[in-house]
Amino acid sequence: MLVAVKGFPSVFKCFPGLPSRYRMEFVPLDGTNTMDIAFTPEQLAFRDEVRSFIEARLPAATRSRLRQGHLPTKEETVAWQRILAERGWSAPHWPREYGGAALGQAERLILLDELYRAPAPLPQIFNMNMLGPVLMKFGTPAQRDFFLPKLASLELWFCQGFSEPGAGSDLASLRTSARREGDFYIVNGQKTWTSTAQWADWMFALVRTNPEARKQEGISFLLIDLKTPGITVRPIRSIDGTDHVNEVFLEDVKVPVVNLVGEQDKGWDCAKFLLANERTGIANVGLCQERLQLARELAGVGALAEDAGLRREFAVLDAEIRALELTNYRFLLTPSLQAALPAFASVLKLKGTEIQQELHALLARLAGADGLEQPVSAEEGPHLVQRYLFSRALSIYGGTSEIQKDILARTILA
Amino acid sequence: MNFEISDELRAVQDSLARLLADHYTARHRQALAAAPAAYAEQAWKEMAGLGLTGLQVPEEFGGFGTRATDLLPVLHELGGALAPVPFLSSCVLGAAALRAAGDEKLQRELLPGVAAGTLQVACAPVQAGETAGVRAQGGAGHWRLQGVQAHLPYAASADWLVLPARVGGASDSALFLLEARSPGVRLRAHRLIDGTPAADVQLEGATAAPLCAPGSAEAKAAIDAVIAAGIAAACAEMVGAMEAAFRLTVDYLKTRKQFGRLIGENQALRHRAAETLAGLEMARSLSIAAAVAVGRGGFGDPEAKADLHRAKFLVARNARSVCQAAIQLHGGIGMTEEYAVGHYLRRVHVLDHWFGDSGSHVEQLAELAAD
Repeated sequence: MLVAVKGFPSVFKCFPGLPSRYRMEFVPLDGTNTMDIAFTPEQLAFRDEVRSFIEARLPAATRSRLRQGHLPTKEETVAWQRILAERGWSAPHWPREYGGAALGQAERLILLDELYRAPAPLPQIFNMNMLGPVLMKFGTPAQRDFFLPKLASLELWFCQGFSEPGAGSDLASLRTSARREGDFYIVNGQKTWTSTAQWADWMFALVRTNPEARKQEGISFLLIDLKTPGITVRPIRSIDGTDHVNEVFLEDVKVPVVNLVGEQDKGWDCAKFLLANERTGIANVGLCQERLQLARELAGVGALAEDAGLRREFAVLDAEIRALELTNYRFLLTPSLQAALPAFASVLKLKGTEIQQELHALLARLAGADGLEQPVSAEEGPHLVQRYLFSRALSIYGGTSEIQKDILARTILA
Repeated sequence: MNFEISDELRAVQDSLARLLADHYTARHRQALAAAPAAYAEQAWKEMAGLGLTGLQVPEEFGGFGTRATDLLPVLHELGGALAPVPFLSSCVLGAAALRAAGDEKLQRELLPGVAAGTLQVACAPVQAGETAGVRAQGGAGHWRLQGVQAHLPYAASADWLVLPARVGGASDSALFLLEARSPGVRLRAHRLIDGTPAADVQLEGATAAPLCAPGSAEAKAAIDAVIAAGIAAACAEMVGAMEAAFRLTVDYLKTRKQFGRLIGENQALRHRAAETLAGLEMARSLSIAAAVAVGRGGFGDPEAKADLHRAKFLVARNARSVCQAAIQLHGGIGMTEEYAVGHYLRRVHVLDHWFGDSGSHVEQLAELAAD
């Protein structure tokens, strides 16, 4: 085997007769540095292990509801999370000492995709992806000891108090204030679009501790027990007829100073770190694969099976999903690429969102006339049309598609 | 998984970039336009000197026997430089066809020359399911070809031609090899829309030899091998072309001023640039998958086959939209012959057509799932 180049200019051994000032010395490659898109045998074995585990343990009712298009309920998530916790997979990338499985990036992606494929509830993101890593990096030993085990077991369900009525994409305009009084912060203001606040025990929130400082400065990261007096949680009904998000009103809420994470006025550092950690699950590749498979199954019966236009749509989506899958692996598993394109997560969010929305729209169409009837219960029965309606939120939350393009443009045109 | 291009191959790419910058300039481009069959000969000789012509020729025949993935950086560079050289035609397709041939004597005779760049084998950019314009008649030892192979790239400079021909009444084709300058062969030289020298090859009883016995599984496999190698190479070249068009566009957005400010400050344009990058990155991933698929058995392996169809469909579709966006973001200057950005669209149009276009591959992918 061949190949290439040590130094320049030097001598190209194989065709010594040909003069060229571009000649190089070709040296044998040992084959270890070969481009490849396959999993290693160990990774394949891990995938099989995860797959069998899910098959054996995932409650059939949960699986069936998720296939119908429902998002998991709190009870389903908690129950499943405790089963995953047996292997440390409820917090797959956390260190073992905190109840995780210390999975590497590739294994973590394999696990997520298998969960989607089942389909099964994913590790609860506010606890596992967002707050947990922040506490490991910025938290005090006491905070880590108290909270991390409870986060991993879902004994405490956290929600994220970031957005406010006047601070959506422009998060740093937030105005919820926290005034220091002795051993407490007195918190006043309003959070909104707070996902799962109606289920949550606690909220991690960004609050303004220094009204004088410039925008990003003067913000602090607080952990707030939602049972504290002065807190009102009001669900916001979404267009799919379900309560996903809430308004959270805070009126003279007393938060002990020990629940400050990191330094006062330095909460933006925690927020940036937290948001940067969102990359791993951002493309939702496994979900796309599972939804396409479902669409094929739904179309596999009756007249739709002969529909050439529909088959072409499936093929287009299949190619898009494969491109997304490989792009996801390529970016997340190649450190040099991350350095070359720091905004790569925006590519994943943008394309992943586009594809998911197309899939949900396709499934809603496949639901046909039966999908038109408003269900008696939002929890049970076919839910593909509702899921389609809710999927419009994908390009809004976690940074709108327009914000992702702004971020990309900034790196491209820097 | 490993998506990293090795340092060694990066160095090869850098050398090729320097070489092309020296030996394929605007002056060369103009000189070529004057002669219908001319290609970038000096650049080609230097590429041969570098050993690049031997990348896909097995070691036993004087080449390096590299994997299809090792070609990626070379093809990216060629796609970006738009240099008309018979690399794809001879060193990728020609080498793939000869590797698939059953005749070792033939391989021994031709492959060392292909590897050295001293002999050119112009192989047609075959498509699955196409009806060849050439018919082969005869039998062992005395095959004769009749008909026209249209638009065969680099036919006029080639020593040997490889093209598909129908045998007897069958609609299936087999690949035939013939000497370019032999009785019964007439060429009508022309250029393709992207400037590639090509010729209609008119055959009137020309003597030829099948690469594999017509009708055999090997003959079918040889065509598949050429198509698979062609898809992977075309995808890689399109990625190179997209990258170059994108780079030109970014530079333009950062320098062109209108209404007293850089046009790259306008959000509509910034967003289009961002979408362009996303489309490019998705295409790049599938282009890698196509190259890997070639090494994984090509059309003989179900998953590799699907990846080849996916890649040719999506890379070509995205390459088109990236190049179209690049022209749009340049405005009027993007429409001019003088400015390079539009040349990439011409190249992409040709590469989309070769080996089956975007539409045909998405259809083939759909059929695959229906089976």
